[in-house]
Amino acid sequence: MIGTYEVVETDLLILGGGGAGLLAAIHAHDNAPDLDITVVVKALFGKGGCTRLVQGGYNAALDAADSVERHFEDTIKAGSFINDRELAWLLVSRAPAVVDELEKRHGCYFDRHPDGRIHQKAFAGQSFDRTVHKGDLTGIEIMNRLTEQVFKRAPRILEEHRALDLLTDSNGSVCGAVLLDIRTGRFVAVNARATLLATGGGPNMYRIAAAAADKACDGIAIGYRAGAELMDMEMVQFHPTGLIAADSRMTGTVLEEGLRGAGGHLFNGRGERFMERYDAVRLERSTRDVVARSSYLEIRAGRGSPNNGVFIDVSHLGAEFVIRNFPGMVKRCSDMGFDLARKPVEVSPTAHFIMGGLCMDTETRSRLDGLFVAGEDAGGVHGANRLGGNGVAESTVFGCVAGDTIPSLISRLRKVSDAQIEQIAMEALAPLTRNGGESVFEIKAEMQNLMWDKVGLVRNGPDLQAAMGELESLTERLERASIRSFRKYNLEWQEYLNLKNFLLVSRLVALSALAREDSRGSHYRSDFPGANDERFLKNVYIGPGQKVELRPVRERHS
Amino acid sequence: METVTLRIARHDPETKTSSWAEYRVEVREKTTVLDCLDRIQRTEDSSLGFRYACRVGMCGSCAMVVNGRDRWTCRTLVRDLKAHRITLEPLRNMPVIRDLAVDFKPLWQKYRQIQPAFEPARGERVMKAEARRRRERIEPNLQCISCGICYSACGYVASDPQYLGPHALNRAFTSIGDPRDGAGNERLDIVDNEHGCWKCHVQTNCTEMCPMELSPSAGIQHLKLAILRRRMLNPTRRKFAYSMVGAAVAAVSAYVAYQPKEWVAAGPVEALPSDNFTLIGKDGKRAYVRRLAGSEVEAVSQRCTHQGCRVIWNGPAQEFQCPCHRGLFDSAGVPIAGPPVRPLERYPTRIVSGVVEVFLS
Ligand SMILES: Cc1cc2nc3c(=O)[nH]c(=O)nc-3n(C[C@H](O)[C@H](O)[C@H](O)COP(=O)(O)OP(=O)(O)OC[C@H]3O[C@@H](n4cnc5c(N)ncnc54)[C@H](O)[C@@H]3O)c2cc1C
Ligand code: SF4
Ligand code: FES
Repeated sequence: MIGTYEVVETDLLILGGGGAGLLAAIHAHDNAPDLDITVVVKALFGKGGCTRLVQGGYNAALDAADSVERHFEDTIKAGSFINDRELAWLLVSRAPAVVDELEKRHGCYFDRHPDGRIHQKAFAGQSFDRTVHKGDLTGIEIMNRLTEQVFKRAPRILEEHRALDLLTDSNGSVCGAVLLDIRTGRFVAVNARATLLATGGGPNMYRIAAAAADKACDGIAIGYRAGAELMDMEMVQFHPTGLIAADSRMTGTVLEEGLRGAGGHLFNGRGERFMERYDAVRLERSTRDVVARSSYLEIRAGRGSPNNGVFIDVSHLGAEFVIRNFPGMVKRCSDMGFDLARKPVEVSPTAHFIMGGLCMDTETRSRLDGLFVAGEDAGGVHGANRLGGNGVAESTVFGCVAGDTIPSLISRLRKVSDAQIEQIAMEALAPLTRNGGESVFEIKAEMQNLMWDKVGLVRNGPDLQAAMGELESLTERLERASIRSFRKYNLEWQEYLNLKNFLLVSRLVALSALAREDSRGSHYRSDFPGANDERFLKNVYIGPGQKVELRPVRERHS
Repeated sequence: METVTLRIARHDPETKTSSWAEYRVEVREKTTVLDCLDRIQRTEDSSLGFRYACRVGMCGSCAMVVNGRDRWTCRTLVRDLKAHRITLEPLRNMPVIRDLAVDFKPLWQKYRQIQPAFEPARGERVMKAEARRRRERIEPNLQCISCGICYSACGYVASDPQYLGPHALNRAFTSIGDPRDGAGNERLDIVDNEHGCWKCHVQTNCTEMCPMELSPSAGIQHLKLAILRRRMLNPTRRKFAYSMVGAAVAAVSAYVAYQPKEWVAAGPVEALPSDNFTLIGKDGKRAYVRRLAGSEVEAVSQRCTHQGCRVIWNGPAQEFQCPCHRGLFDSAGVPIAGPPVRPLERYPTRIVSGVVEVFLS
């Protein structure tokens, strides 16, 4: 039934090829050139994921007047003090060296001052202009150069292969994964001595969302199903300025944060600069959680723009300035018929990033033996809200850490069980053998509306309870859905598999959101509108069996 | 809201059969070509194969041939195509996986051949002002998203499967031109042959089509110049065979590649015939123009889509003829015989106080 499957043995299996996955491959190879490395990418190699979509840039304390301590403080403050201190410290303290490595070893070249220093631009929520960038399309430079470095080291690359689930031995240790080759529809069982999850989260379960279309919270779902512990799953970041382009797929794509950093204004439908009412000091340069929520509240109160958004206006900065500094944004808007340099453009909050994820330690170990995690799949670094510019810093820093530590932590090859492989494959194949079920696209649309309305920027107990029920019934409907029964490059099948993971992760988000009865960072409960440090200066953990637990924040950092 | 017809080239890898399928899609002001495919997939035919990831022009996954022209579909508004029938085909010069999704393997294979990975030069760590100025030359060619459009649009790639192609050569140019890089000579060796930069005779399809507005063809001409410069300095290093001819070709082609696009006047509307094409422009910038019904004007490129020779309009036969390899195009510019497979390029036109202008490159 499942057909013949290929078996691959490898030392290090890397699931995902964004900043985290690629740097892990590069570092692991350089640390241990004999290591057999396999990189699996769901999209085309070098193209999928969000590291490529990084526009604004990369936070690192490089300037003599700045300091790692200040970057740390900004990061913790933005995270409402629930960041894992050790991980946050690792992020900020290693970021400068990684920027240097990206330039000197991998050939990236970031924008410069005339005197040769790296130019750092203003982002929101930071006490210093420390965002390194390449124009307003920074991720292209980073991914292009890293892709070539990986080619040079020639690991096994499996593109348009998706990880379905992890393989575990009788002790629960992870010993590889089952993949689906999207092009042929055949399964590949990878038996690995170590496995790194770096599939980049991706909150695309919301109606308006920003992440690359190949991302479906796969890594978080896969890790959780294998028994890994998750944290902070209620913390989903909404970017304040997602472009609104009617019913186009372009809706939700991000107009970069530097527009606000440079002094852009936000107006509601009545022409009021509404941020004055929400954060009179920082205004539009407030952190993302505050700005996104404020916009949402304006829209909900009926003060939105004609297409249910607000306006971003940068025209007062001068068209020439805008065109010079944000050419990518201007061109993109103009292709869609908007004049960003001269006129206000309608934007909406858009689901952008998952702060939560698998628990990890400073050596990127998850709580499961044999399983490592880096990048957006991991939790703890950003706490309740990520600073703009800390995302690509996280994926590259922790990719390096993973590549540096895994070779020395790697264990022996453990035997995989055929029964487990077959079971994973059978589950994936189930919808192909059913008939007469409803369309997965219909279920997806309902989930996205539900998540946006009830588990989105403003939440409350009854809505979250209702959402849990509705997610349950969507899951049951998905279990009856049927899809056309061919295997080769069947995109409907991929959507089914995405939905399975989206629905699981959505439930975990709602569950954590119910547990956190206060408002903090990106998580806002209208029934508990303030922060309650006494009870909730803590992290919400979810373990196997959806067991939710609150534990104090890990404070130590040296 | 209006309705357009999409004619899609389909290929089923299960049965290994190809066919055309037609779908009608309602479009609005902000509907992109990609949106049409998304809608067909969701509501009409879930078996449709196509690809995208970023949906915002950064990943280069969504390119295909739209009404004969290679484009990124996530950033192409249907209304800008000004057509009610839209033909979609997969990118050329790469194997099709299903329908509109191709395998990028040949593109990357060639990319890997030029050894694209940065090799830090020994010693040089600080970027001096001089080096920074040199770097500025490669800046405009850096933000390649590997969309494959140039590779698909290039006639030389079509005729020589071993040709490295504009995508790889453009990277060869940017890495050789990077003053911090130390492997320039090795890369010049790799591109200095008949399947490397010398294959390019400056058809400039790549530059015209590149959605990121890079100019791979200018990059390729720079490679030729760099090779020639190296030979002059060290004539024993390589055969001298190409050098003088090559120098001339390179100088001319670098010039041609650098011609910016501009609006060129083509005389008053009334003066244009409506039953015949007239040749307008001068030097490297020429186009065939004619008047359509009313005061609409169309402008067709003189460049044959096979190897870039100049086509000639034959009025009585109502055909464009290419003298080089006997390619024939009908009066709409659609290939009807000979090696060309894609229609003649069209240029934008406008009428400014009665005078026709054509946007020429
Ligand atoms: C539009 C946008 C703009 C952004 N701008 C910035 C910015 O300016 N600054 C900043 O710091 N951060 C920014 N971010 C956030 C930043 O991009 C991410 O934090 C970071 O890039 C994540 O890196 P990653 O390596 O974890 O995952 P990604 O780069 O997203 O890579 C994930 C990889 O996993 C693969 N994958 C997914 N599922 C599977 C599966 N099942 N099997 C196999 N492979 C799989 C994908 O194909 C992809 O290759 C932005 C994000 C978005 C969406
Ligand atoms: S040079 Fe331009 S057309 Fe060619 S692959 Fe790069 S972005 Fe695409
Ligand atoms: S989908 Fe990424 S460029 Fe079009």
